[in-house]
Amino acid sequence: MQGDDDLRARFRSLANEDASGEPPFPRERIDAARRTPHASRAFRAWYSPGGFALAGASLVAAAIVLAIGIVLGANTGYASARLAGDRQRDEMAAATSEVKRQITAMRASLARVRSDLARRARNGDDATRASLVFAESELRSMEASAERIDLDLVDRRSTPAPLPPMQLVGFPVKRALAITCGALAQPVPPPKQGVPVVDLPAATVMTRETFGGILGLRQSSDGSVLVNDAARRQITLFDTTLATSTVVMDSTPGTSTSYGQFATALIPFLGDSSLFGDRPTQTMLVLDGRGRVARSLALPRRLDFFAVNSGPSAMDAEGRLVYRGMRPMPGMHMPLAPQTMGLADSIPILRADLDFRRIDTIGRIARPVMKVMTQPTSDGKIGSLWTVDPLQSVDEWAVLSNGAVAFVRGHDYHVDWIQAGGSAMATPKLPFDWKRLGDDDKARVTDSVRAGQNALLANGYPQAEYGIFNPCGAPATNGPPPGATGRAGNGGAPPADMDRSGCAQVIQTSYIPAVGGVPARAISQALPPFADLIRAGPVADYRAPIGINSTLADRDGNLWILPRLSTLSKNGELVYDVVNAEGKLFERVRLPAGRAIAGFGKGGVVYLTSGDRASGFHLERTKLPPRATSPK
Amino acid sequence: MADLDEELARHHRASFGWALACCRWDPAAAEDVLQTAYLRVIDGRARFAGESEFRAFLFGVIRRTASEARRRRAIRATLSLSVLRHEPSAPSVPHTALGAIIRDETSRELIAALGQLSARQRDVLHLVFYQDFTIASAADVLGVSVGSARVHYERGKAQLRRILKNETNGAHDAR
Repeated sequence: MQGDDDLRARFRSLANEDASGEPPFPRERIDAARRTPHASRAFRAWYSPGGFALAGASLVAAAIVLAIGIVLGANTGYASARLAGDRQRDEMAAATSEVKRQITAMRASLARVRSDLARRARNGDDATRASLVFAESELRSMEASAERIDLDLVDRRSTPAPLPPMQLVGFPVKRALAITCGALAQPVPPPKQGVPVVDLPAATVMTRETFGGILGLRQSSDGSVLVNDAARRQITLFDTTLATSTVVMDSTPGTSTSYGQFATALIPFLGDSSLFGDRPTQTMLVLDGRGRVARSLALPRRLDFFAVNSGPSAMDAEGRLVYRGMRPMPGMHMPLAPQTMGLADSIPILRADLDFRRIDTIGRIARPVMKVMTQPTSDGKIGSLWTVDPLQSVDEWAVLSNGAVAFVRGHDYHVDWIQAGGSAMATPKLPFDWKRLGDDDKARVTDSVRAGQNALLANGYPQAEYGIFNPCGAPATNGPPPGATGRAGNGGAPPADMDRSGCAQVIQTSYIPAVGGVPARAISQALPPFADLIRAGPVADYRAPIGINSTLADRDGNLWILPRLSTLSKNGELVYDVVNAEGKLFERVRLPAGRAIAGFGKGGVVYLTSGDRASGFHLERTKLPPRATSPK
Repeated sequence: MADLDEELARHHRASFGWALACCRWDPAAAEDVLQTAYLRVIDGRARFAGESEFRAFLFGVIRRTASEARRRRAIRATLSLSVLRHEPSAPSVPHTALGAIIRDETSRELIAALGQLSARQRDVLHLVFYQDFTIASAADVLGVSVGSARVHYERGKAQLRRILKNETNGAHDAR
């Protein structure tokens, strides 16, 4: 502390100065404080008469203001819960009047349908009696629902809003508090997690007739349905109940209603009309909603006739025809010696303006490199085998009912869009349970594909993507496509029957097994097996999410995608990812077991096929349950 | 009772110096704090238990009373929104005309330098150099451990020297 003398000196100087200003010791005050207890001092300090007066005045003022507020609120209704309730009921009544009107219209429709059913029952049509009874029960159920809704509306109008159990009328503040507390006590529904899974209900209506293979359908605005039975070369018009049918085009050649020799798609056109390819003239017939030929329409480029009929062609929002182009090829000449040649790894999506006769490319979809092998067949003719590598990812596309074009990218499972207004955008990746393939998995997949290919070849090439050039004049061997192709009413993926030099036809079917497990048709003229059919390239690290022909467009502006894998499939049901026009996966729809989609109608109507190839396929109709919220 | 009065009176000068230090050398505030502390001792609201020397106990009462008074002033200033007015941080020494006359230059430098220290350092230095407390007694007054008080003492002393030296050099340069 020796070194601190300077500081100590400074502090002492400061102390001396402070001492000069030191106040005297407050002895008198201390004595006075000792004579007065602390409590009384504190009381005097804080609870003086002035303080009491002030506090009392404040209380009186508060009571007066509160009383005035209560009186005014109760008498004038201003800020009254009763008045608010009346306003709310008036708004509710206005909103429900529209519902009431709709119920009235629905009752009228029900009455008409009931009388129609009764008339049919009187006619003694035993065959349709079962379906009529079922329809009758459905009608009763709908009527009961309508009555319940009506009764509910009447009750709401006649009874005021429920009051709390306490007698609080006349006390607006208490009443408002009680209503607020009651509302807060209402249980809040927990937010839903993940993508909801919707089980498509079992069909309510089914055709009695069977089909050889449905290649799309078209539901008209009046509810009738045009069904394209490509296997039997027929187009059949069904009424709304699917009970009665009329064949509007059949396989009989030489008539004005002849279907033609080859399977042809039914492409949705403007309104209820459809386009139907006329192969001899390579023009498109315009069919009205009843299946009658209204006129014919020439494509801007005649060579695109086969391309238009080879994919899910449709019209966009501007009335332009969108279709899948042909894969660019190095040349039309096919070598006669057995060899392979590589083709382009993508296919253009074209858009044809039928008014200005213009065609432009709006996008491309990935397709694995195709190999073509040409060699003499066993009977000395020339055959070419077209093969694709099924292990590579592919893209798919569809035209939505609102005119937007969707490109589903298989490598990362996202969707690129060309909106109805022409703007392009990409939406985020869709959720998918990606499965990584190890080396062993890759080897196993490669081996199984090769074995499967060899088995297919040995059995006459069913289920392979191939083409066969038949000799000139040979009887047509290209049979119908499988019963269900997985394509919807927009035409689906028909076999592209190519006619080269007027004497050769090419049959193309998808390698992917037809939806519903329906096998493809075997070829009668079998080529000798190609052990080296597919040189599978490097297998991707992840299993491809989608395959060929895996997209559908419904009539409500949604895109249906069928992933290759789904853990939601319990017994082999098909589970579709449903994506809205904003690219959001808003629900997954699980089909009933053994069913495949044949087409769509408006308002969530789904047409399904059931049955098998031996006994034929039935067409069924069902409807998606109402969604809790709009998919938009 | 008379003994208590005598004890208070005996330490009155030192108590006033300590109250001044606790009130940042504001004599009026120091006087109020001192009277309030006396009343607390006399009322029995602050009881001397005999566990330390009386002066240390009294200084502790004064320090707490000054802290409460400071908090009350801060609350009052907040409620009256005076904190929103731009008021530069007031120096520890009130620059009144009277203060300039009373204080000599050395004391004013010391008070200004003490104002730049932390409260703990300032209190420890004041108790040791001004009141001749030991560091242990200072720790008792401040309610901290002896080790902590020693650290504050050493650091405060070094800081105070540095500040005073800088001020001295600045004054010479100015001349």
